[in-house]
Amino acid sequence: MKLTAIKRWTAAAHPGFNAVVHRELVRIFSRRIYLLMVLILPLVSFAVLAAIFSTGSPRHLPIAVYDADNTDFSRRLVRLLDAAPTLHVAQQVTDLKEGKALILSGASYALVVLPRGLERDRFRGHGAQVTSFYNNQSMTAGSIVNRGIRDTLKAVSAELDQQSRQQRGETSAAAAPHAEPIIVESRALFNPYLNYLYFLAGALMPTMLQIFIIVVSVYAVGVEMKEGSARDWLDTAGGSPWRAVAGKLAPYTVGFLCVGLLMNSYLFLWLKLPLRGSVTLIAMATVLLVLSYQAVALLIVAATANLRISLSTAAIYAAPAFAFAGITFPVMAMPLSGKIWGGLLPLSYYLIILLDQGMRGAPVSVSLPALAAMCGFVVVIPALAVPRLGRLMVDEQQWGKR
Amino acid sequence: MKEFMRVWREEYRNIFGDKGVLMIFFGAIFFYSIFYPLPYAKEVLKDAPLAVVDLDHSSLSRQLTRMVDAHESAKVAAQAASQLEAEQLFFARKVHGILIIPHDFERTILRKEQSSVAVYSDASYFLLYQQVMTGVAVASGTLSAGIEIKRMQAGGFSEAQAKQLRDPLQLVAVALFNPSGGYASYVVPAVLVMILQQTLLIGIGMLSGTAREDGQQSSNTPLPQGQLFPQGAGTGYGTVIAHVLGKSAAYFSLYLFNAAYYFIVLPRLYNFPQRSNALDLALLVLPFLLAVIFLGLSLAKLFRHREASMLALMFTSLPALFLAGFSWPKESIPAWLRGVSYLLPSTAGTDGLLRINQMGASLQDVRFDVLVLWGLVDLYFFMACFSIKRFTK
Repeated sequence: MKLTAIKRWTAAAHPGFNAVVHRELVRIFSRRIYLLMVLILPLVSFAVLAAIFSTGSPRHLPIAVYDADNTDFSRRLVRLLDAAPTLHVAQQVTDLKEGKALILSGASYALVVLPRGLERDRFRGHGAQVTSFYNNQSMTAGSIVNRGIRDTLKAVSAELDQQSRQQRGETSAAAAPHAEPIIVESRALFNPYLNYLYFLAGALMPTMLQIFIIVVSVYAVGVEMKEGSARDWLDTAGGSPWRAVAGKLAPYTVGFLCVGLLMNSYLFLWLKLPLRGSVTLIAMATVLLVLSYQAVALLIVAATANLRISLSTAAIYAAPAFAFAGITFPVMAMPLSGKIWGGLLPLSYYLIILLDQGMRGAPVSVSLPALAAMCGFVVVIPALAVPRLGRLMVDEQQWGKR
Repeated sequence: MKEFMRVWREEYRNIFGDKGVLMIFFGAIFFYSIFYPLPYAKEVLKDAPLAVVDLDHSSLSRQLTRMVDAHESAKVAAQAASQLEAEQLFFARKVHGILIIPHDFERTILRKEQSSVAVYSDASYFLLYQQVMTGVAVASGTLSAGIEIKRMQAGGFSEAQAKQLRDPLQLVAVALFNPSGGYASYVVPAVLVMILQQTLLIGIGMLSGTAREDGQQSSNTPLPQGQLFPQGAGTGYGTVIAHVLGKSAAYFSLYLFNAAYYFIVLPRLYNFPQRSNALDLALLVLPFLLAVIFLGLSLAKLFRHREASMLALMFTSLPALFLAGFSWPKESIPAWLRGVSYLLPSTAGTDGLLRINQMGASLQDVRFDVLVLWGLVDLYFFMACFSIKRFTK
């Protein structure tokens, strides 16, 4: 859109909220950084994250096998391992050292050792033993590979057990139930296929969004102090710091709500994350997410009165939020200080609501405390920040600092 | 050479004269080293809470409940009378799993038939899911094996024979490098590499943005004016190269200390597994830092304001972290994206550093990463020279 068109479109004669909105729109369209940070980069980063996890769950992870037995039985085991959906026997090695090197270089996540005498031990009824070494530094891949190897061998073991029972004279029908007196029927609630895309994308995209919201808000407010235009800003608002702040942030609120809407459509409509609860509640939480981070941004600028320090503070506050929000490593296992810090991030509450009302389909009442906490940010923090910000706007000594 | 030394000294002056840059280069490095590992301080998640709905009320069902509770990964936080009550506890996040023991559990097993217990676990939090599942699976497996071995002993087998018979193909699984599955040992070393890269890029961008704001009058003039060089050295390639190398020497010398703090001191402080050979570590850190610095200098001229680099780079950390392949396996990232991700020094850097420092790999084992990093050093060196030359004309 042409700058002049914007100017004409939003032109407001009298100082006040509308005039500040007008002034801000002119500022937004005169520097490309705003458009980039409010719309383009958030959407690009969502797309990159979705692309990373687009396979859903890891499959065909490479492992190496050292088959020292080299019999029909051991070769069958190798074939079965390769057939497991999560595994791919990428290499057959001829000694342990070679296998270890493959793990160290990253060409394989595990080494399965089928020892000499494996088939013989099995026929004699001695316990035959297979050893696997798996890379647990790469914990996600390591545990998936370990589970794949374990399940494959367990199936073979159960089959052998049944065979030997039959040989001992038990009929097949009688032999089967003996194998395991207790069966565990497990259900993965909410995310039955353990899809990582559902698990991570739903948390990572809001995490990205909160970084953009706080950084843009801090910049938009802080730059007025740095460039000494705060007085003009306040005058446009007719002298009211509340109107000045509201008029300035309103265009960004609208912009980020659009991005938030796109994000949720992307998550629930395009990536097909389960949406089992209240859409209204998710929408309300998204509005509160934008407003609460804008509020925190005001507080940061009011407290530091310096654009650069404000941005650094915002970075410290919002950049590590993912670790503290408790999605990957649960809050209950964090030390008290970690729990407190997580509680000071609106993101933590937003993700709870998103999970409750999205994947979990929890009753609305369950999400109300989290919603109330987010309202708390929106009400309390501006009350602390705006009066001080008002004083800074007229305090010329605070300007030009960088 | 004289020009190189001059730029080097001048860049030191720029860095140490700028509180903002100091805060990034040293303040952030120190702060994050304490702050980032904080949530993972306990390393592993123990006692994931679950509710038991015991419809059997038999001695065997109580034994199973006790065994689940005794397993370190789970704990029985509530005995629920009905499935509905357990569900409420679940939605209130008081428990993250439900174990349902059917009402004829003991009788069925005494009749030598199979009985199944149901376990519902919270897959919206993968770590909790895993711990609940492990607790229930291990407890019921142990109980199950005990029952069966007793039966076989009754049938005349010795205990050892019975064990072999019921599991004729045993698996011994050995977890390498991070045997206890510590979460901090898994996440933090990779995050540290990312912090080094991002602070360097932002700091270099800030220095350059400041110079742009100050214009040609500042002490940080991109290239010397003619009169400074009476012999007419001008802005030839020699001067540009001296310029890039001089600045880089300043950053590199400072970040060597940061790298030593992050890769040698911190792992010891936090008791991460550390198995590196110092020379191999140094030979990987060298191209990593150089690639990041040259990348920083190539990008620097994009930033016209002091804060612009922070604005533009802060959000890249998270996607870059997941592109590095330490958590999401690199094989599962789409090939095109994986190719593009190698343009970030952190991709090969994280992989190589984790392998050398945490897994004890040799430089030979990570030669692919080293090769990629040196490739980036070359690429970004030319880009940095080009970028500086273009903007000084």
